[in-house]
Amino acid sequence: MSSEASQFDQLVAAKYKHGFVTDIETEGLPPGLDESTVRAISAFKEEPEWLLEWRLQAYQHWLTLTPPNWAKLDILPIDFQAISYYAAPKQDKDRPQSLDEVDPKLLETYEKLGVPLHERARLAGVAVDAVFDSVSVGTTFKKELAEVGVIFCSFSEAVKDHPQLVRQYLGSVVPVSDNYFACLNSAVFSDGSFCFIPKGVRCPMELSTYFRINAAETGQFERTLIIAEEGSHVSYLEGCTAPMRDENQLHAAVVELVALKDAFIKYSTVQNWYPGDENGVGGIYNFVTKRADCREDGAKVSWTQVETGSALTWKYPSCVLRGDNTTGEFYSVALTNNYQQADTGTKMIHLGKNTRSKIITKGISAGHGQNTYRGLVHVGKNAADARNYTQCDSMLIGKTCGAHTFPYIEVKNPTAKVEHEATTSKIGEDQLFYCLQRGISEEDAVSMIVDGFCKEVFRELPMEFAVEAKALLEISLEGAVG
Amino acid sequence: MSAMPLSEIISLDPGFNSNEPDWLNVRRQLAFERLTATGLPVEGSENWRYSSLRSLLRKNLNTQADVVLESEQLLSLAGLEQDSYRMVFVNGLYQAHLSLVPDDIKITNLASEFENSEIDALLGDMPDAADAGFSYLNTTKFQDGLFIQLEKNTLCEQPVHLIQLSAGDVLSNARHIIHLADGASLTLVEQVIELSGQTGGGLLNTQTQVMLADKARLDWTRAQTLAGKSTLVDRVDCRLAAGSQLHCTHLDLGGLWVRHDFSVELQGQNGFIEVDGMVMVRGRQHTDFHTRIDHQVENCTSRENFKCIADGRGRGVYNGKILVQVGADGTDSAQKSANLLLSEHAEIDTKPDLEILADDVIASHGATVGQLDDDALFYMRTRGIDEKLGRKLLMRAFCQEVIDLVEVESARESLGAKLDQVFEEMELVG
Repeated sequence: MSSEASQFDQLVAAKYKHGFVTDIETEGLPPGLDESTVRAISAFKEEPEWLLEWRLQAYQHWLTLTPPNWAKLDILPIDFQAISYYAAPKQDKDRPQSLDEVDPKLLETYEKLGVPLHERARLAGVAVDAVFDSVSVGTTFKKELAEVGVIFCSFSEAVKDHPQLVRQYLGSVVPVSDNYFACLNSAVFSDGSFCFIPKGVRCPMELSTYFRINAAETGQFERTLIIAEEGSHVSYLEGCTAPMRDENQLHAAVVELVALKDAFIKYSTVQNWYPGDENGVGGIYNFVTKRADCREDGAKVSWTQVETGSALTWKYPSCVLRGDNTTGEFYSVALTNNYQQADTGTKMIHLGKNTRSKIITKGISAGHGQNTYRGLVHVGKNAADARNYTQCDSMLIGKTCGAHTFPYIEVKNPTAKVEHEATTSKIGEDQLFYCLQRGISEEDAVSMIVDGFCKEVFRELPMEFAVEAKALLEISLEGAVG
Repeated sequence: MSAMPLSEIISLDPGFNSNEPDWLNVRRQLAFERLTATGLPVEGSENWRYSSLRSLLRKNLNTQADVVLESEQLLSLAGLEQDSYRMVFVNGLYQAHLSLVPDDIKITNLASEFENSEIDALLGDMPDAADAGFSYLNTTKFQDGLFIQLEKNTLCEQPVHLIQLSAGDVLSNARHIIHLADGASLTLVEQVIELSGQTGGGLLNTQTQVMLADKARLDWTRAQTLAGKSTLVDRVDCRLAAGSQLHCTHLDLGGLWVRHDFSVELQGQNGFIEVDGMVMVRGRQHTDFHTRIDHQVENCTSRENFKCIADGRGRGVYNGKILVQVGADGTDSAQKSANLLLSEHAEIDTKPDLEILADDVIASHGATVGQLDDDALFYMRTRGIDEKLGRKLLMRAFCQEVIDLVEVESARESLGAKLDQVFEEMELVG
């Protein structure tokens, strides 16, 4: 037992490997939020009048809202006036046209993260729209994408170059007034990604964006909008790591997906924001609103997420299955260690006929982590022959963590079939014993068992991510075995 | 006093009643203060999100009704034998002339025990929650209820029947206490019935405290067959000591608007609780079943199996919470909610919750919403069983799992018969 204990101590002491700060001077707004902040952000970005109006409308509505408190999260009050709402790299006005012009320090950051931007992009055939703090600094493979008509750029560029598209779809999935954090995002969003796949196009490569939070006390408010036209197909990867920091940083992103007739969008996330230290100090507060609208018949959206970071995660990627024969999928692995808290899940809103949804979630709690699955399956009156299958499995590692399941099932149509099942378990003594007996260390055994537990979800990840996700899980679980 | 809406009734101060002991006056006053502060649960509060009180609050209710009930009439209504042990309450008031209890066991009405200082303690702490309005209302207004206190190792051989009759547009509040000492054992069959010949539409607000000491056992069947417009709010709080067992089976067939809150605290090791329910909603019926099982110590077992059939414009709500506290290792819990949705205007809302704070546990839950199996129906038709009978058989089979759990044979049979009667009334050919 004593050797186990010492191993435990050693593992607990393991530090977050991705914790470092890149020393780039940032130019930003002073902390504080009022109408002038919103105007300033809009002016910085040289936005058209309608977008400013839209932001101001959101801001006015936000003032009337109160932060949600229904989640099973222990949230310290957030001082929205102490946050700087805009930070941009110094080179903002003179943006690099190619990777060579990108600040080498920036590239260094990606190196440390194990994401050699140019190499990875070329070798893996992935276009990377790298968001560093709030302004996009490098976009690759634009030409190749342009040949097939795919638009993949930063949100600010999209506002300038494709204002009609942005105006048509922005806020059409997540309305301005949707919820507290989405509303805040609508008022102050800094940048993000925009993606448009034209009719009948199968996007030739996986689209990927790396987000990083870098400047101290800078909340990041990303806005992603993906539109897949009739018969198109796209796989989008979103991943993030963040430097070590003591203050709780706020992250309130909004992701909107629009899938038109027979379109398919696959959205994969690996989230590894800084989770706070072993005593629960610091870490990112992550409030994300992600929603997909299967607006026309036959559309399909698949969400896959691996959530290992953040001190606090509040995230419910949802699918509105509006068209007939539409499909929504949600695959999730959420891991909480130390004092991390996660309240995450999905909403499947069945409105069209013959709609299908599938939810597979795996929650892992260790240390003092609290992991909650909260999901809604709603079958509307006209959603004939809707079908849902939900499976939520939780795994507990240690005596001080918690795993919770709150599935809401609302069915208003007599032809619907809805199934939900959930189990909670721990790593079996006998499983561990068997591995130890075969000469596999306890650490490896746990990692192996956890990997097996999550396999169903990892299988859904694109290859590049699957490797990273597995590694992340291992890093995040360090110190949890004992 | 003339009839007034529930929203006004709740603002009536109980005042000081010199005929009642001090502890009860104190309790009523505290409950009234809390009720004034919280009101009845509002829409939007998480525990009441599917159950709106709007129509209930507008309901005009009397405080009493004149009821004349003969023994014969009661026996046939409740399907009892002449010598069945029974405690009968009409609109929450004890009917001594209709009741029959054994002499050697303490089964009596609560009002006759008000001078017993123990009662205050047995009633326990008053809940302090924003949505406990009905509990406060009950405390400010209850007049009587069932009081059972079994001594150590007492066995009550025959089942005891608790008959609650609802008559007229009356707000009635009943308060029951069931206290079984170490090793005691009891079988209780509870029926909530509408008294025919009366204009229905009352509100019955009942609250029951169950305390099972070490190795005590309670078998409890609860059947509710209220008439069309009657409403029921029912709250049960159980505390189980080491090695005690509670088997509770619910059958809800009637009532326009029904709400159950069934809460169990497993306070001693090796406790066992099984709570099951069969809910049928038709017409505009609304039945909301909330359960909460709190595993506070190690090695307890809990089982839940709830079934609901929703037809017409009925709405069936189930919310079951299983809580496993820190240190409650060795917990074994399973929870199931199976639902049949038969009509395009009916609705099922189900939410099986798990909150788990210990790691060495087995906890699982499942929920399904579906329809009668077309293949099975087709098979039966090929065998000469017409569609109506086929549907009836399938529904009966769906319910049977719960009906089979009823301990008392006569109750099991009469409940089965009642179910068949309901199926008979349904418009079965789809």
